[in-house]
Amino acid sequence: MIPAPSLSAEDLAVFAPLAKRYFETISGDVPEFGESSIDLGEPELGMLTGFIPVEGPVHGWVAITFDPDLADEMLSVLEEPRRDEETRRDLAGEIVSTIASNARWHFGKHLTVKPAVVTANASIPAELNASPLIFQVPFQWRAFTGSLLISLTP
Amino acid sequence: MNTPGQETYIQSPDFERLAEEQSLSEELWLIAFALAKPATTAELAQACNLTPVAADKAVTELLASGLIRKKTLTFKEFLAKRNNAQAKPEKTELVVLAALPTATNSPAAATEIHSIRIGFLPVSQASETPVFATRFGGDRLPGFAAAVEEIRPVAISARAKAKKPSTNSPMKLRPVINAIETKGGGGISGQLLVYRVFLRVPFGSLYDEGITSLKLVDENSTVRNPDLKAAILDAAREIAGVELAA
Repeated sequence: MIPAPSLSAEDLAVFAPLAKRYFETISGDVPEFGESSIDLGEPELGMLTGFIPVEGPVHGWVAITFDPDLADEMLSVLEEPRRDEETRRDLAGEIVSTIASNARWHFGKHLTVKPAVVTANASIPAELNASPLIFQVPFQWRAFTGSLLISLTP
Repeated sequence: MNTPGQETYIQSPDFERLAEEQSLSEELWLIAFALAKPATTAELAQACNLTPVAADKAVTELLASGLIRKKTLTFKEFLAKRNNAQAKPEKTELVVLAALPTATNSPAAATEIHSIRIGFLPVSQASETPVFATRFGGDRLPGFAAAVEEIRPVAISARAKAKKPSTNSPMKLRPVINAIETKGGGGISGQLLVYRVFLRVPFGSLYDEGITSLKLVDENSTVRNPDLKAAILDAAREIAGVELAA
């Protein structure tokens, strides 16, 4: 992939296919992305959220958020017997770190993709600011739902 | 719902911690400190000699930084406000008080700013000797030593002013969103272009117009606030290259 010479928010659309590829590669099932929304105010987060801070021509974060039931399904795909909070959190970290690594490869030097941060309490990490305007795309993987979020500094 | 410019803002609870991590323009710091006490954008505009759009834009930037938040009321505060509204309230104004020169004979030091007080005072007290206090103290504020007369409005491009719609007719929002989305190639990319355009629009004004989600905007959704209309059209043109009539 060739990074866009002049990167903008639209280039962050690549996070959707990157997330799609992760789920497809691990499980063989492709998640379906729904209709996006742009909402004022704090985003609705699932219990598990992996944040990928980005810096450069665009500044903010991209996040994947979902609930423990999706994590448990993915853990069963991975043949992981444990179903505790720590394991689910590790899984969320693995998912989001994989997506972040692919994003780093995609954007190269045009965008700094920082190490992922995971929360397991439906909250935004203190070190990350949320834009008052959040871009959100819901997705469904098997019987479970989650969302891809993009929050950019105006 | 409050009318445009009537939403009240105040510093965030963790203002001091966040402020130490921020680098803002002098104007934004002044407004951030003015919001040690609640104020609407209209009051800030008046107190800081800003246009309503500039005040709105400044508030938008400060909201994004996390330094300020929208002021909400507890039920008790709501009742108190409601009761006060029935009695004639004491007239108050937001004052940006002149900074004190340091007590010295040095001509250079004579213009040095010691600290600034910004906040609400009853009109009857506004001309009294100010008590200088900020949450940090003036000497801890990077780039905050500014005389009041140096406060300038946040810049608005002459183009934006010229493009301000002259009529108060409502503008339908759906065609604007559709045009931007189409320009962005549709799909998530097109929607992200819409996102980028609306990141430039004063969020407070959107909220005041009852627009909390662009997904919920239908064919009948309109924008009445002329400043908001101008901001949307300006952002659509500058960010997306989409020229639309008001």
